Amino acid sequence: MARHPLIGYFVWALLFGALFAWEGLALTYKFADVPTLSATFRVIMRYPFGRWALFALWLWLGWHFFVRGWHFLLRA
Amino acid sequence: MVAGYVLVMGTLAIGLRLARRSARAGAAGTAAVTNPGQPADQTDPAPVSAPVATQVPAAATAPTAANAPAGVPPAREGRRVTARARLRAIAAPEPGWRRFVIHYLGTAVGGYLLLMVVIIGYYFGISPVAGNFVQSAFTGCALLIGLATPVFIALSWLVERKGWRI
Repeated sequence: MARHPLIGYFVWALLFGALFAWEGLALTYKFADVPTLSATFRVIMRYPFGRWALFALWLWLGWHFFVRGWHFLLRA
Repeated sequence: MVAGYVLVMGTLAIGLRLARRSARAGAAGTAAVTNPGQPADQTDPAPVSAPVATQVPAAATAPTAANAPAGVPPAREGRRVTARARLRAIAAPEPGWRRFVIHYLGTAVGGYLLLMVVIIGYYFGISPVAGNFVQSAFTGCALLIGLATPVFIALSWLVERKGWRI
């Protein structure tokens, strides 16, 4: 496995932490017009291009996690 | 890492607690309104946070023909509306399996093509990734769609026809 500088992992952790923190804020101030992640996705999925983009994102994630670099049938 | 996890989970916990508290206050306020015989000291002083019904402007609900420009004759406008309605009936028919299949195919094919365009653009325009990157993208994503489609159709059938709750 390739070794990367620690700061790279830290930036990713920070980005995901910010995402969840924003979702927490949206849930906390639900009545102050801060949209939650699900509300945002609902707005995006209203339009065909938004649905295509989300489906492409889902495909990209699935391709990376489950297809690329994986060996079926327990090949070593 | 642990500090970040604690911060995120702490924020979520506080948010959930506040949301539940305000929902409880809202429910108590509604109950006080619906039960006028209830003593005043038992009501919650928090304001009722029930959602207010959104006013839909009349122009948004009016049929398209009513919004026609002044210069267009009514017959021509009526033909245009009929053609548009026919097109819409083909693209989005009545709720049912046909509409479901059209919606699913439109989303899957559109998303697949969009991703392929992005991947090809990235590979040839920005950075050629080593290995069979583009070929793997084409076959791997098609494999994922092929695997997910029967599961999605089966789950949709169970939810819509058999009343399953997921």
